[in-house]
Amino acid sequence: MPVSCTTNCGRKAILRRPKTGTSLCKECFFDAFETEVHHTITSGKLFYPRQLVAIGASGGKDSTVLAYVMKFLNDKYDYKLNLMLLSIDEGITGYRDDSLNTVKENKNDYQLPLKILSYQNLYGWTMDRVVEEVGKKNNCTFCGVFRRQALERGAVMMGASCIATGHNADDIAETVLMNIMRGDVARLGRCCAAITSSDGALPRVKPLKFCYEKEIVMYAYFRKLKYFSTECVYAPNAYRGHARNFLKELERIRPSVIMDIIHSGENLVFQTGIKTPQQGTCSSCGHVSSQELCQACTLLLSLNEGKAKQGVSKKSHKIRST
Amino acid sequence: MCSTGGDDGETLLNPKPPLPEKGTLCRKCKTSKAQVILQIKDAYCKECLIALCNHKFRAILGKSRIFGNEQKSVLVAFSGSASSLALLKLLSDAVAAGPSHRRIMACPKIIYIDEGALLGMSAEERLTKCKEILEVTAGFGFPVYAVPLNVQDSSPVDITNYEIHGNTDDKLKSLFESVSDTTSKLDLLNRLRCNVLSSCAQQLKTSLVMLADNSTSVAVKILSGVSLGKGASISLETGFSDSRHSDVTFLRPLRDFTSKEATIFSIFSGCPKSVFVPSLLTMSKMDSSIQRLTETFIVNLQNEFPSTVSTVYRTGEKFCSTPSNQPCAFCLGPLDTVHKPCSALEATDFSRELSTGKKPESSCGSCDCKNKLRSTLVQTLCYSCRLIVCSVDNPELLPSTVLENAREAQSFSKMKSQIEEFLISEGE
Repeated sequence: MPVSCTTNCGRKAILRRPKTGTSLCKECFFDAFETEVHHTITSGKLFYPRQLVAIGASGGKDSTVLAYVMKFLNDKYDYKLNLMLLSIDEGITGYRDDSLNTVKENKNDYQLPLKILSYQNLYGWTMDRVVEEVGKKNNCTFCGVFRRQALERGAVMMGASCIATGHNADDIAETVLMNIMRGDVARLGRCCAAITSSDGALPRVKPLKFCYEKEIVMYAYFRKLKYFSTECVYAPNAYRGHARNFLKELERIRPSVIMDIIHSGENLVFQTGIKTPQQGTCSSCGHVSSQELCQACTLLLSLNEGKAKQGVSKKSHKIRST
Repeated sequence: MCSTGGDDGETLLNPKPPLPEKGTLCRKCKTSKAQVILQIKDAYCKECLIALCNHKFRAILGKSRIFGNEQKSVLVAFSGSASSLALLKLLSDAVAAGPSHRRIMACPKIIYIDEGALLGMSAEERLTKCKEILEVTAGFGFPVYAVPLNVQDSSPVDITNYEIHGNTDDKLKSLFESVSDTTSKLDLLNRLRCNVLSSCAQQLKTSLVMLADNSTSVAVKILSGVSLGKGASISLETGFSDSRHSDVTFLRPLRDFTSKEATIFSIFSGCPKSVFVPSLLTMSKMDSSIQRLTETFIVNLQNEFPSTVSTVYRTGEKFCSTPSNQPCAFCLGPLDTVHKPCSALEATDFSRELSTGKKPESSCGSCDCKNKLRSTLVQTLCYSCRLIVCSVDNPELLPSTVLENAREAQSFSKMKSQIEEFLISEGE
């Protein structure tokens, strides 16, 4: 029996939204998805007119949809933003080469300028070499730290004043759970904001903050957007996997749990007097850091000295920057 | 996503180191052979473990300064579990201790909540359970009361005189039957238990209630509370003291004890065997409810990473709650339902509006039903209580105290909106 779209537009419904459980036709779904992102952008005051925005583009579904929707909304609502694509080549053979090709296609499809930075050029190390040196367990730390700085540097090189990333609701809920499990109160207080900025570093913006991962896939599928969908080859051993599986199981029991967790995260009140790290600059590269050497320089030092395993031990956890 | 949070991939918590060998000496007295290992590396003999637990318990209560120089009566919620027994034993020893051993000036009363009606237990089965409870608690020498779990207020009676009344059970059964999912049932059950304990404490002229939550159950409550949208009130649900209910303070003096510590203590100190009392969670599948899933997750993760429970517990200790002028009509916690810009709540309401084309006034605002009582009730509830109430088919079955609180909150809110322009706001 055909189900009709719940907005009563008269069309047949072709999907059920994981976020609200309502059934929508294709056009109303596109409209709802896009309007919700627009709402996030306007109510969170994420951008200002004539701003140069660097969109972190990995070729994956989140950044592809982000690039598409940002361009679409920029045109429709006349945000007057200058959008650019910024991509980082971590040097993971097979995985990154293919996704970078996707980003190049995005550049052509969406007519946006593209800049690619590589770990090799920035740090002198590819992830393949890092994994050879460090092993398969702690490599995500290196990649995450390096990428964050790389995005920052690339954005500054392009003259951008903020970085837009494709973090979705599932990512944020997962981060809340992870930070509770790791006892990282400082991060817990910040992870639910739509704009995160540490003084000195460029603000990072998450326009897809309230989009369910499943709906991003649905949007890409129905809009026929091309994206690269393989998991990073080094990812399986990460601790984050526990939180991710837990979240997936929770979602099966109660689909609204993703928004419920974000709501909890937003309403956590912390006792005063908890020590938070102080901002300063790295003595080696000048990047924002709460320690004498920023995380990237610390890790690079350990890689170059052949003491890579030390970089991610519990001791260095204490000297992590914010 | 790998770039979320930065250093997320590492295995921060080291996998299990090897256990101490058999024959290791107790780390405290260094004379007797150790009989139990706590936290992977701490080996204790029986006497030292008992002393450690007693010391910890009295220190927590002493530091809180709740018990002064005069006797205060305290109601101990007893469920039959090993933690409940440990709590009773620790309290009983603390009360009987000499003044130089940090004696606690408390006058304990024990209460058992009979939840058998929910599980369809027969009257005979329920009375047998009461007898078993009496058997294990009588030895402590404190008065023991029993009360049936009820939607409306019921009075605690001496457990030897406890009787079952069919009609009060019916209301309870109808309420739970009208709840659609197990997660909401469990959350509702928790709320009702708190209301019953609070009411009994007042009737027994006690202002303190002790609960036997240990660090494992606290860690599970923290994580499941976050999943249920309780961010604003988690510190009240899991902290040492909770004063939401007027005149009654809930205490959790066992929260610093792991479930292993509490169980071993109850065995070593010669407590009677624990009583198994079935509950809604008994034999439930892992994916039947958020609470059960969270418990399974934490317990399994703890096996691989032994500091999981203590890390979650310590994170929870850093939370607190800001009281609001008008508390939630159900849980009496802070109202966290103000529409802040770019918040999850605002985004959810916006999505619902878009997807159904309905304006908020025509629906209850929290789900797509059209129940008028629910839509007025929901305005007076916090986020997580809204989730419970929206899963109750017939909100009229909710406790009358909740409906009364809601009516009161509504009329105050109407009054305030009438005089708002003349009110001088504090500060800012």
